[in-house]
Amino acid sequence: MSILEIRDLFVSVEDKMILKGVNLTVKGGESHAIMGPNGTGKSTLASVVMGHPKYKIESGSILLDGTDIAELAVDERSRLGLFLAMQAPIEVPGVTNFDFVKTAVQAHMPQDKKLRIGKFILDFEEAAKDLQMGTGLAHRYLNEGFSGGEKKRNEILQMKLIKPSIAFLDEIDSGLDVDALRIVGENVTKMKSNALGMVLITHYQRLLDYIIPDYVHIMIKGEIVKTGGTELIAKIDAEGYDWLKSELGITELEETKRPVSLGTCATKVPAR
Amino acid sequence: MRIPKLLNSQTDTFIIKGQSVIQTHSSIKVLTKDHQVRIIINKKNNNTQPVDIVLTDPLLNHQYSLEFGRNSNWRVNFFYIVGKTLNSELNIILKEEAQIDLNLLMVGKIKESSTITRHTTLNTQSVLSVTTGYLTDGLLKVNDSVLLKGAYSDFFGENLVIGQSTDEVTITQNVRHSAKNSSSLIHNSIVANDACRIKFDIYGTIDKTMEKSKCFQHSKGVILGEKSWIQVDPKLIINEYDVEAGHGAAIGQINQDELYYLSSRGLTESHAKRLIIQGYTDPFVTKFLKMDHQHFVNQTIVRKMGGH
Repeated sequence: MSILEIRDLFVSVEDKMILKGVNLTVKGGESHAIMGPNGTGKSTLASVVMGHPKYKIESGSILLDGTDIAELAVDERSRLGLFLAMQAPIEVPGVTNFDFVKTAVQAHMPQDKKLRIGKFILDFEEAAKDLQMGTGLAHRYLNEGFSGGEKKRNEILQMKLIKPSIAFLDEIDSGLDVDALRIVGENVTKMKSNALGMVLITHYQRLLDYIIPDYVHIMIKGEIVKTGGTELIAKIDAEGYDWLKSELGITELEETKRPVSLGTCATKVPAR
Repeated sequence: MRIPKLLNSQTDTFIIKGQSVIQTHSSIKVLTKDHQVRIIINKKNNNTQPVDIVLTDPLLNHQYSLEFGRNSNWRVNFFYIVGKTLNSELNIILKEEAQIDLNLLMVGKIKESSTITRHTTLNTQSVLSVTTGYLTDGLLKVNDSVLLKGAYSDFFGENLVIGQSTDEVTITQNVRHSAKNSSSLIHNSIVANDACRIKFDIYGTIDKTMEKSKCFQHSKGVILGEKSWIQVDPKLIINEYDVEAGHGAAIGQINQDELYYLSSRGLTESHAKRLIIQGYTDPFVTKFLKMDHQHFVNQTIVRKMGGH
């Protein structure tokens, strides 16, 4: 059972502080939901944990099973058991889905072990069938020409086969219709076990109808400002976040906005 | 130039060296006159088996023609093994309603600057899908022209160029629509290693009154070496209103988003880069259906990539 501990994490991008002291502990077998208004740092948190080079950790730590992973490369974090189902999965033309997933699964195996290709094919087909992804999936190029829903289902397919110990699912519900949402929800719920800790990042209740979280965190302006149970989901769905902002005295203006002079307007100069 | 063992070992491969036929094929007729060598495939292909052709040591200033008869329907794998110096011409002619799938691989070491001129002519309702791999070493200049001469003719050209070391490859593509309802689509994939220089000049011309024609060009290239260089210059010359045309080119270093995505699934940076490059080369390799051909093409690509 893995444990991910995020301690007092401050993160910036291009000199702008995005995360301002995030604390979160996720254990195997637990499901956490992080909700919050747009631009509040939810996806940044997932990307920072995965090791996206764009973000700079100013202070704080990210520990996986007691080891600080902040200095590790993205691939090393993945091989330690972290997974991020991305909000906007990247298209890689010319690389088939099958080759990619096979390579990824092999990368997670001990170096002295070889992938049993026959078993992998059966596992791949079964996962694709569970997610109702169609028979041609294996030979299609990675995410190229996939619909929004197919891309999200493909993220879950990879998660099923890679079998991470801690997974972040970043807005996995966006772009999914009602049926696809049910399929994804059912598949993710089936994966719940003590071997997997999950963090679901979402704006809406609808995903959490299918994947019931143990903890619900609300993130505003780069901080987790409230943690509770599923009762928070219904309240947010009904009332939004304004009640919480008033309760905690959070104002909309982040910093005092000063008027900016744009200087002199262009003037016509008579032709000589 | 020695013929690679993999290509030499099969009895059904048509092999021509210079002007001499080394191994024949039941569906191929060869006519030789002065500086001209005509390779003619007339028969209909009833068993849908591909025909494999190896042309080695093409002679200096000779004109080779690959001619497909009316209504012929073939898949052809053409291995063009160049010698030290080469200034030769390859003509591809499709008669009316011919439907041809051609995979053309150019390999070999060119010691001095060489020019290959390729003229392709498509007659009425003929369809040509041609995939060309330029995997030669040295200084290569290619003049590649396509004439869509017959109405409803259809041309689809895919090209893969891999440069390494101090290779210099200059390719001028010229597609001319001289028939109504003709269509063309070009896809160029370019990989530049080390200090090589690769240049594409692409012209698409639709002549006046050739209405309902379609002319498109796309190029993508990845620069891997600090001193390598790719330039793509697409041009469209459109002399008719009722047509569709477009071009696009994307050249750059390895896409960092792709690299991050693959790394997030446990692939090391070098492994992820290799997979991204395979994205350029694999669509070309898989055009060759026979496993030993794929092996040969793969070997050539790995060598051009400096063993990676």
